[in-house]
Amino acid sequence: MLAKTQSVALVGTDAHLVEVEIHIGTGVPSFTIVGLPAKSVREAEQRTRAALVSSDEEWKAARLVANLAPGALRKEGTHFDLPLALGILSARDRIDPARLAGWVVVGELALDGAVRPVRGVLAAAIACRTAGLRGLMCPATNAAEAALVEGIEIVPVQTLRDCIAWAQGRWTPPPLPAHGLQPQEDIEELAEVRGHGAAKRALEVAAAGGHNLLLIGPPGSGKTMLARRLPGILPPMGVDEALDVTRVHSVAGLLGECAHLLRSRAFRTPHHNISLPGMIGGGPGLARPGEASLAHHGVLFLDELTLYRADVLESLRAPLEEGQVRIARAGGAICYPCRFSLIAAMNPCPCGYAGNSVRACRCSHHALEVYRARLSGPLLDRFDIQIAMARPSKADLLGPPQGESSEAVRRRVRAARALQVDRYGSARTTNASASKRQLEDACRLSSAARAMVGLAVDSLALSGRGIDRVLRVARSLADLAGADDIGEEQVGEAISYRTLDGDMGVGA
Amino acid sequence: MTAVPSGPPHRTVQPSDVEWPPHLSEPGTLSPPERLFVVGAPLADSAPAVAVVGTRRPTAAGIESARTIAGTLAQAGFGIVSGLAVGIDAVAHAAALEVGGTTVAVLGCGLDIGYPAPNLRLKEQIALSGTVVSEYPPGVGPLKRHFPARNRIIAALSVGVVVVEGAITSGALVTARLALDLDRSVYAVPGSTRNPMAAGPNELIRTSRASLITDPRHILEDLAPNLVWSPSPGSAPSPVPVDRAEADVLAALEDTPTPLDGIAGRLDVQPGRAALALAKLEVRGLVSRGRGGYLLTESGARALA
Repeated sequence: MLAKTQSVALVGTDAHLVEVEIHIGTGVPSFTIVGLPAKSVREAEQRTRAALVSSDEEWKAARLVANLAPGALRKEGTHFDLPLALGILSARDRIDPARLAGWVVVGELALDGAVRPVRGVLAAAIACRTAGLRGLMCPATNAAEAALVEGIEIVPVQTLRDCIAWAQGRWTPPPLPAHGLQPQEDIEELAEVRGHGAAKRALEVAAAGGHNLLLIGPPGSGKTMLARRLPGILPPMGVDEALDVTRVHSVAGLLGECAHLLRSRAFRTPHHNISLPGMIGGGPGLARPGEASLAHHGVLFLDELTLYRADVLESLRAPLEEGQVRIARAGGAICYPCRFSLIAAMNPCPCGYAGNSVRACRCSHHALEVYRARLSGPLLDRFDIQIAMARPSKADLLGPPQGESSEAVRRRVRAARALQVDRYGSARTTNASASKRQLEDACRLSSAARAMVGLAVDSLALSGRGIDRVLRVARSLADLAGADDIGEEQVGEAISYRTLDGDMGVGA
Repeated sequence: MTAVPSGPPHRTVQPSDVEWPPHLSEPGTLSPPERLFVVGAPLADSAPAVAVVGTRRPTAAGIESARTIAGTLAQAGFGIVSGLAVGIDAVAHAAALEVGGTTVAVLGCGLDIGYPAPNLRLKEQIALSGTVVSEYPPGVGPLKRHFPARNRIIAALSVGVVVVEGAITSGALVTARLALDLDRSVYAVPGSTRNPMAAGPNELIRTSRASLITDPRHILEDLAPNLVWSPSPGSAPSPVPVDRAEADVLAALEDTPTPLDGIAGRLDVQPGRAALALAKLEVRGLVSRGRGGYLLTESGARALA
């Protein structure tokens, strides 16, 4: 008495197909699950048994072995309940084994036989399509996300009875409502930000070249307000990008019942008390993607940069370079994608008023030293653009909204990004992420620009890395201007956006 | 505040000793110290000294003023007296050492106490080519009440006191008041009314207790009218030429750091334009950029004039 069903194991944001084999033999009655099951999988025994009995199926005492193959892959999660239950029924000839061939089954069972939602259904659906299988049986609550994948059949189920009826050919699921795109959310409009012309310009440059941006200003100068406008000026996401992002959210269990393809770029603002697993992913049990991955293809905003734990900030360095996080776990390393734009904001000093004409700074020398030391050079190296912000003037605050709309800025950003796609031959490479070699090929400097860089190296003690960053930003400025070569204007402006370390601009 | 092994051993100087600075026993000195603990060059030897004092949290402009004033005075042969505090005091000591002048640091704690920690290396340098003085025996920590007392020695050792930056309540103003009691000349570097650190010197000027100075030469003319000012070649560089757009940007800068936005707004130009002009000025050293925005440097101020 042997039967097989198929399910998946989640590894990062990928689902790997798993064979669920059930053998019912003679011997001392028992129920054993093998194939590296985690605790959550082993507990399936109790749920499955109770759910079967609640669904009027007989539970016969027998020696029952479930094998989850491949045996070397660690399995976590509660979605093995349903394939196990169907496998048992199939082994007992309650349902036709042929009926389950080519179907992937995921779902958690309640003791009364109801099917509960699980994480990662979108990933399972994608795995199903990639393997050329027929379809996916999943909890009805998760059906919408499964339906985002075209070319496979979906059987959404609410109870174990439904599953059995379907497998016995007595029930067909109601057709799924056509899935919609995520309703276009109101984007935060750039024109609502009053004043701050230079900071808006910096935001545009950051968007155009994929540069990370550091905003420095006293409390109330509008740093957060400005940062929230970045998603609205980034080019809209393509379908592939949207599917990537939705998959991460599916694995995190953040898609609701009316799941739709996420079309808006994410804007994640983790609080500064966030833990390491919270930021990059992991955690106990079935690993979850962290904030960095939830910001995939979107924006990660770190307000009060200096208050984050040092290890949390350091953990972002490799992901920023590689566009993915790799988390080593007992069962092997898992990867989550995280290609995000980083914006950080900070006060110029602990009290926030250093170098400010409105109020005197009240920080002691020691407090300033500590504050300065919290920002390590390697961390500041991740920011290509730094801009100081002051509180907007009364005239700015009370006057009519001014400046361009997000849509107008977005058009320029798209054009600049299109130039980069042509240049680097990849939709993912930006001026900020291009390799050193690509950058060298891309940066033809006019003689005046070259002279300016030379002067900056001498008088501003610009390091090799500093030059590199200035050139990247200058390239983005030239792309925004539609210029082939980098001129003096671009180099000059890039120099004035460069990141400073050490000096806080408030004295020695 | 841990005791650090100090380099050269200190000596104790009594009022009866040759080294005892006569100024300290002048009538009017508030309870002259009974003895001084000294490391470095003999005290009485030093030329007439000027105190350069100010806030622990100076602005970039204040740092530059202190550096120029202390450097010029030291070059002219004056000793520079200050309190070895972080900020203006440290800048003044360092500027005097830089031009090979003499400097005297008066501490508010025992000579062996490592306070203030950021200036320990500076203290060692002063002990080598200048003098470090305290009225407190070794082992005595930097108590709060020691600092006003320390200030009376700074005032007494100097023929004039220059206040660069400081709040109304700052110790620098205490030193100025003590100096006035001793009939010393007091000078103050004025600053913007919007710079809280300029409030102290501005107040001294407003109440006619200090002479306003904008150039270290004003002090020299006052204290040493017979001194002939012959700038060494190259010591006063000619103004760097600037074009019209750059001059406009220079004029839009303030005493406190001004963000790019403020400058572009004041000039009513695109931020990118202002950024270019600022970068050109910055690479030539006419403006400097900090986390809060842009500031005029000394050569920038000269170009503007």
